[in-house]
Amino acid sequence: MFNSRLFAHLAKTNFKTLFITAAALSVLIGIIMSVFTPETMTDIAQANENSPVNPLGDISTLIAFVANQYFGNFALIFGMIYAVIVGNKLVASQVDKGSMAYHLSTPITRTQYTFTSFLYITSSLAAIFALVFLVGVGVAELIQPGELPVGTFFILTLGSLLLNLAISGITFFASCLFNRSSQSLALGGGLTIFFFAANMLAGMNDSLEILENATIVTLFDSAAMISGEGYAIQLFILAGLAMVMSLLGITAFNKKDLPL
Amino acid sequence: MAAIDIQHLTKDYGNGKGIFDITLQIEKGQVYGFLGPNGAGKTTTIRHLLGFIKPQIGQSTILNLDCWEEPKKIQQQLGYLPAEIVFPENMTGTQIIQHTAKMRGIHDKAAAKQLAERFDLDPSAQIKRMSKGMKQKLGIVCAFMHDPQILILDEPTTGLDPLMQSVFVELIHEEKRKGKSILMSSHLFEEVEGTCDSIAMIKQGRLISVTDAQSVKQLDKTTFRIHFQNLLDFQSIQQENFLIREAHPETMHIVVDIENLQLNALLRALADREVASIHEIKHSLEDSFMNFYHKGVDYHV
Repeated sequence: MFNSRLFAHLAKTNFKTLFITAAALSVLIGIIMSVFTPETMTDIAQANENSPVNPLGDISTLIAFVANQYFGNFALIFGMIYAVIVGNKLVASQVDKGSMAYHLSTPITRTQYTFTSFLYITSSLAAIFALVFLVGVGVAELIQPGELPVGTFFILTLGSLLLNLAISGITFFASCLFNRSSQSLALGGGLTIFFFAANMLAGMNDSLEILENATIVTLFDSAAMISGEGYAIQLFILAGLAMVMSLLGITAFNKKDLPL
Repeated sequence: MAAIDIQHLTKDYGNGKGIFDITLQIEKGQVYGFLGPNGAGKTTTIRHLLGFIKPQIGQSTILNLDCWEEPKKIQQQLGYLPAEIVFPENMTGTQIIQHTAKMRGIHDKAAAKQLAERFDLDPSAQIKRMSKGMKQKLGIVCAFMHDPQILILDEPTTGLDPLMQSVFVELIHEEKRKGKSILMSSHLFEEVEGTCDSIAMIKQGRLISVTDAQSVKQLDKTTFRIHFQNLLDFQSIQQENFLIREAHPETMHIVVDIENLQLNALLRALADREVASIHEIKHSLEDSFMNFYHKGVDYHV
């Protein structure tokens, strides 16, 4: 099912997107870990003492700030953009442009192509988050040793990775299902944006809290992860979603007619 | 065993589009031309052979392997040149050739290099900077480099200049001598006329004729264009019992189809008249094609 030469080719042709995403997320986590020392956070807390809402959310601890701002926003946005772009590019865009004919006229099966693509998007996301974890821990230990609970940071990174994998599962499925980039992006990108927006709106107003049930982003429960319990089932659901959607995509691609 | 065997292949896209009950066999060592106007169903048939689409009715096999079930095994023996070739983005031609070789498990790059030299292709440029002709040449290199038993070429000479077209025709002849089976689609008559053993014509999704190229050329009739020196002779010849296709009073010439048996009658009739010039019009596949084409139109009226 896996073709190492094709994997090498995909890694080479998608390197730029991977590099930009990984670099941006690494720089961001590096800045957060180096700037938000206990002294800075006390200063910010004092400065905002009288304001009704703190724009930075819960910044009582470094890990709470990382969970809310970094994994709740930056990692999610960059991960989503990466999943939408690469998910679409791996399959639907190749069919739309016609270069899928080139790939399939080499001796590989459709399953080999899609399964190798699925492994590429999964392992590249894993690589991005592994880098984030290493940079985060490294910078924190260097600037403010002992302030970062490494175990919790690991769970948060893993949780964020699984959330982004679930999203990539959806974009990959859309990419396998449709023969046009526009349709694949409409479904994959559209759902992704909806999940993100629903999560944001749910947090803004009590009357919109029902939206929490409509988005998979809430399955990444950072409060539970920091408290250390009650997050495992949600993460399993995310991992399961990633697997099921990708498998559905691979199956759909095997059965359909290709306009090549 | 036929190298390529298509049996009752049908794919109905609605609105009369698609292909209907296509049956044809291509033997080992045969060059098969697949001729028809744009949108006739040539590429749809080829997509079935590549395993890109699943037949509604019928079956196609290559080297006894089902095209939909076992495309991977077929690909090992197949070279394919699509009508509009698109390569993956952000790669140079050299990288494409290397990647194709890797995917096919070829370690010896000599054949690819030789082909590139033969077509005067410098593959080092970026794909997106390449002209249509260069991409076509690169496609030819990728389709031929692994010395496949079967070649499926969809409008192979588009974008090639006349010099390269003749290099290509030479290559086809060589491959034929090596015993390859070749399916070549085209909407250009000249392209298939000189190279193909057999020619299938397809129109509105149906095979309308399968001829071997030799018999097309050796039709038992000849067409002449005859110019006369005076109007009287021009008019009187039309009273004779010949099949006049065209008559042009202003230039005083006729175009006439003469069956070989009638040839002497024509010569005798011309002997009494003042003839300015006489030319034989060569029969081409084009005439044959147009012939079928117009017949087809009549059926639908």
